[in-house]
Amino acid sequence: MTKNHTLCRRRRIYAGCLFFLSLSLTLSAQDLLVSGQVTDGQLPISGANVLIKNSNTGVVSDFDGRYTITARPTDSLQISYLGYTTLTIPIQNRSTINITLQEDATALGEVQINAGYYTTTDREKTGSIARVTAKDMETQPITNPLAALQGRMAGVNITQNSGIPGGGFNIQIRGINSLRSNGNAPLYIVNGVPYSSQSLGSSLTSSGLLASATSPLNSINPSDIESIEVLKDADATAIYGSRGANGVVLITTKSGTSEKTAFSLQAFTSLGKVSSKMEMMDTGQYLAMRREAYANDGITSYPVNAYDINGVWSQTKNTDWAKELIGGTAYIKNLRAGMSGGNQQTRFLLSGTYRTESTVFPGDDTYAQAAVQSSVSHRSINDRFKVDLTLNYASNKSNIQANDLTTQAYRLAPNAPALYNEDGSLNWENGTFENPLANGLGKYTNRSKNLIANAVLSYSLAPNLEFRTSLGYNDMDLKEARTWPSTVYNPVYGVTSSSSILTLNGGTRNSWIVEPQLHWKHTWQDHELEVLLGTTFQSESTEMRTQRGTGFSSNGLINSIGAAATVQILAEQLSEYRYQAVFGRVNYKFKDRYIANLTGRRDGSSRFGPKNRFANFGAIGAAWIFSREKFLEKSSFLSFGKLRGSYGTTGSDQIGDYQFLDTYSVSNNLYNGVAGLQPTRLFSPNFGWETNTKVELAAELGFLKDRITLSSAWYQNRSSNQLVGIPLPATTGFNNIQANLDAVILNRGLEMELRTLNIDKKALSWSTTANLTIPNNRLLRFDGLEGSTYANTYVIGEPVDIIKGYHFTGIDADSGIYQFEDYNGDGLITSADRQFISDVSPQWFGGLNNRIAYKNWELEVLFQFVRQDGRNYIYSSNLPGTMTNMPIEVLDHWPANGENAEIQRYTTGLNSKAFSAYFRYRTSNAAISDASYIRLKSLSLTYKIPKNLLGPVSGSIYLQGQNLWTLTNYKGADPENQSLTFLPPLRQLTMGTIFNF
Amino acid sequence: MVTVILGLSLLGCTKFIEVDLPVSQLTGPAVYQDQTTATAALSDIYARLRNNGVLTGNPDGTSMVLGLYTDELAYYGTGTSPLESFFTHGLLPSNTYASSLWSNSYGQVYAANALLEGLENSPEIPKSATHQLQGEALFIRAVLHFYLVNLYGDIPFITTTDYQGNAQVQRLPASEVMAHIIGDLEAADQKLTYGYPAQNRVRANKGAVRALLARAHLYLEQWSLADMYASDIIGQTALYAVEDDLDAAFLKGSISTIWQLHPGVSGANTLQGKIFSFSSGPPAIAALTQDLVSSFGENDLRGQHWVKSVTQGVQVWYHPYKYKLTENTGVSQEYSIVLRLEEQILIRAEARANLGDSDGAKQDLNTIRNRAGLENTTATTTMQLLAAIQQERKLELFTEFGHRWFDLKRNGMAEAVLSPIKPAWEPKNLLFPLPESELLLNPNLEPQNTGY
Repeated sequence: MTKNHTLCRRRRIYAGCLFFLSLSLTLSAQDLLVSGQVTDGQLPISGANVLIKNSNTGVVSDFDGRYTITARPTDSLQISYLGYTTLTIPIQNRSTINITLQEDATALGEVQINAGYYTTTDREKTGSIARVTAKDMETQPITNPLAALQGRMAGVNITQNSGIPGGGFNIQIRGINSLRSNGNAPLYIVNGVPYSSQSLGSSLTSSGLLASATSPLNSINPSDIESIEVLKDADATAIYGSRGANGVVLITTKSGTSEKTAFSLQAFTSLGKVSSKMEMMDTGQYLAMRREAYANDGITSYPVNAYDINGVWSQTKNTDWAKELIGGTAYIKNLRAGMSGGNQQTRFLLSGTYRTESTVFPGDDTYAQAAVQSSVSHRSINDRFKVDLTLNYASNKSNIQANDLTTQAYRLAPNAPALYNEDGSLNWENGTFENPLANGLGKYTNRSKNLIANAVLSYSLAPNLEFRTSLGYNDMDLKEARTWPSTVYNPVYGVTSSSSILTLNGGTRNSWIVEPQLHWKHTWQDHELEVLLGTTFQSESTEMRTQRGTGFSSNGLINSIGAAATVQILAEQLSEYRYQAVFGRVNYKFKDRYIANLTGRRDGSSRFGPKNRFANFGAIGAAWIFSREKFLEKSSFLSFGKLRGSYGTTGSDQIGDYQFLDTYSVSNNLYNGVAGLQPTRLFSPNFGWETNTKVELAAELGFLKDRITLSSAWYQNRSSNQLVGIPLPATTGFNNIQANLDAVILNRGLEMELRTLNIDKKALSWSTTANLTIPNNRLLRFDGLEGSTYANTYVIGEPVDIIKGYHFTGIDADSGIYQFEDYNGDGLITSADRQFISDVSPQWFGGLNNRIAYKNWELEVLFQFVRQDGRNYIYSSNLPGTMTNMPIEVLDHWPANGENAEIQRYTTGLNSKAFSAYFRYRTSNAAISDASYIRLKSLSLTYKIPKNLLGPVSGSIYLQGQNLWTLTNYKGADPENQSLTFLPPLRQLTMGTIFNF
Repeated sequence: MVTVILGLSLLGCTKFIEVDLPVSQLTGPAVYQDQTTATAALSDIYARLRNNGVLTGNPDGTSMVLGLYTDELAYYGTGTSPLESFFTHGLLPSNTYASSLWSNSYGQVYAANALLEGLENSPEIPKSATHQLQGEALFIRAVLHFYLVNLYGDIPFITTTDYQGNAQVQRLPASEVMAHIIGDLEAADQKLTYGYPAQNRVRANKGAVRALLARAHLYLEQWSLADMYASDIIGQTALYAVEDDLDAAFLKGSISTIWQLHPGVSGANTLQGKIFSFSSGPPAIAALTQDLVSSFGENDLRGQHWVKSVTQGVQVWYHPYKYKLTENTGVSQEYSIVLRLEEQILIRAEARANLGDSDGAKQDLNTIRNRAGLENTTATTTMQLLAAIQQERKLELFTEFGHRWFDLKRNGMAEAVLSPIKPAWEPKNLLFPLPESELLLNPNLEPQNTGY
């Protein structure tokens, strides 16, 4: 905790107020009017809760920290404020009591945690909830909120799959629960509004550029986020019922805090470069490989299309294509301005952010985001009525060339011709060179708009009873366009603008949600009971339309679909999703140390057939804070101790809409003036919910006044009744069918989080947080696996993240060709011999963060580490000897380095034995190797401008580096995205300032 | 209050979560209650035949891949395209084009079966219309299996939409598959007439069915049946005649066309026109082989009208020029012709030669030769005549959905013709490998074709 009180207070006061049920009390004869001021010793604390102990009566301190409360002379006051130690002071007949709160040395204290429908504290939570706050995010130049979680949370594994602005992230909370590859996304809730993580983008427009369709989370401005909570176990997720199986990510945006009108300004600039590249052959090495390949194949006169070696292209030119094509610098510029203020009754916050990002590719492509955020809250004078309104709007616009150049950077022959002619036009070298920049003449533009509005209305019906309704609305709109002007084609085709193509994709998604709830709280003697009952109505409709215009009178008109000679609808998707539920929670606390928490939900979803629409989910959680027991209360060593556990079920309905119906859809296929109707899918009307049973046991300990805290959790998730698109052979007419499989996946693991406050002096403080996750994933049961279409994909008892491939046994000393194990002993290597199991799931992963503050300086260093195997460069490389460049590893080949070489004899593809062996090699264990890494994820240095230096202005200057350094043995470009086709995450250097006044 | 909330939710429950179908979808049974929507379902299959699978004009269709696989086309592409393996005969079970030919075709077979099953319970559609639709669906199912069996050898013959059965289906011997194909065609023959259900011959009629019957019997060396069906079509002189103008033979209104595929969007022309043409050298994908180009005699008009040369410096390349349009035009002018009368005439010539009717055979052969500006054939013996017919097929039908490959195969000529020009030639190459992914998903399809 730092000494920046005002900042803390502004942020947290509101959350504290909202859930504090302050109630009016009538004055009676013997009552006393007590008043005073709450301070931290220097500055007033506004928003502190002043409560009469063992009652529900309380007030909140005002902007000057002043409070007034009516109490009996014998009562005690309990004063609490987030981040500070709670004080209990007997009134003893005094009418003025000034209170000085001490900062809580650790963050564990009374920090309120958002659990979705209710809040809890770190001390008293019964479930598993991880959290990052704005503090951890504000100096990072991130576009996607998920990036902020990397390395900071146990049990949450996040990988970035592309370094292109707008590219997506993969998130796995406690492993793979579903055999369905797209069925492992968590539920995202932004300010109480469910946020669909399903892209509105079309692969028809973004393919080749983004590893996955554009991520909707990009539309949430990271600098508007106050906190992100990740709910992991049954206790925390069961209240989300059918949608909680893969965990829940709660995103809360900032809200107004201070009463004094305050302004803030944040600006940063970031420079990004590709952090890890493969070293490729130079022209000499490359041409030697080519010559050897032809010699091996017995060919002496080079074919006409072997331009690299038959003399058409220069034999000496040597270009480092990675430098040329992905070696640029990507700039991010970000500016955020905000204003907040208010009074006792009303508080507000307004902010705007503008950001631009460029790419490492040649050219000046940009991605821009403008975001506006506002939050207003109002409470009536008698505190009975409250309303909170938040509005987040973001608009993204990108204009990026339509292809990721990474593939070309690693494949172009080093002696390939120059990109440009002397006159600046693209060089096609008389038609012999497919210029990689040609695709850049086609553009991918993406405009998205996203509005999330949420209103929470609450009214105190009685002192302990509150009625609350949450109303949410989300409106997303995405427009993508991709152009293919005729100029992208090699001029030998003689293509004119009447073949130019414009592909447009437009998607909108509207959803609304209404959640009326009753909150009741009752306290008597040593008992505390909280009850919540609510219901959800949610409706979501999605519309997507992709169209293609072909044939323009000039390429200058290519952006106008109206100018196209023919327009075709390629895809039209309309869907509606309805969801309805009743949910509840009962939380019982006895003597502040025995806590039981019961949650449940009954869900109905339109995604299932009439017979399976409804299902029940629920969980029980319990905690024992044993450090509050008499015998430990006085312990100077153990300051906090809690055991907690939970058990429950959640489900998953992530299968898309209408899957249970036999339907025909309008296809994009025109024939003889008739628009075709196509069977949409194979259907099975009776599939039902996937269920996920979660167990967790955890211990949370604090030592030496909580200067050391350790929490470790053991979890086990069994996910059964797997709802999957079962892959089918083509003879069925389709790739898959949605159905339930009698298969069980077990995810089990150990999570540890350690926090230490190593030095805690006024001038110098040093804290360390570390997290480690050891996951274990297994396919426990799969009835009929042998006879199913999964027979060659999964193995019972092994993780679901395995690759079954050939077993590489070495290079034949005589023929120089890769050899593989013949499992079935039939003397042939066929697909039946793909029996070698390689496990590519993470073995363990985590992060280590150190924060050192000295006077006005603060240094934060975050390391992220993963132990895993992954696909290496062999998987994505072409046949060594063909007209594509190779990493220098390929120089280690037969016969030069004998049968212990890495690569077999070079061939141009004419040696069919070597050619098939190459394909098998790519799908053998040789293409899988260590992909572990330790990465300096983030390093930031912040200087706080001393108070009074700039008058009323306070602020800080910071320098931050992202992905600065990586230690790895990985055979490839980057161990995180493991791809030679998509741009790896960038190394970024950021400089920024924050001012408040 | 609690009761109000609970009551509200329980009441709302089932009603609230019922959603209507989106406007772009119909339920399966509804499609077959109406002739228009049933026809739209059929149109979709034709469109898919045009867009992908064996009959597409795209690079993964048989015109391109089998052209490269034989002596028709030379490959000029760079980088590693799945096409290169066809040209070099380095085909692997993982080749994406070999597997897309397979999977797209079975996807189309499914749609044909769905149509046949849907029509069984559709009293709302008039009988005559039902027959027409059924006949076309049977024809499409037969066409697809016909190409598949000739490419892959033993294959499953799929007649239902039951995915559980189809997921574990086994391969049938090629001869049985051929028998099923003929069965389907004979059933279609019963249901269809010579009247075309749509203009421009873009949907199948009795002529299309019989044209394929003639070809199937030819491949089975059932000469008299081949002769009978071909003669029947040739006899429909009001409908079909040889198109004398070689430049008009591949226009959409050509009188010799029996069945062609509509290009879809109005103004579009054929995909073949796009992929085969180039305007300057070297070619981006493929060009006609020197061997094929020089096979056209100096006087062969086809060598002048159906082949185009592109010169750059001292180098000359040739591309197929049957379809002349590479880009869209105001109104579509060229459709993709799958079946045409000239093939039937050559089928009958071959059948007649084998049946001992040399004069009849010569007469048919000369019809084709004369149109190409050539003298009558000089062949005299049956052997010479048969060789002349094969040569004529090579010149007449080049780059049209793999005629050359199938002819080399059925005449046992593949090894003799291809092994000198394809260094990687092996006898196993007579059949394509089954896609590896299919064998992994359905082990009942094992074993893989020998040698792969």
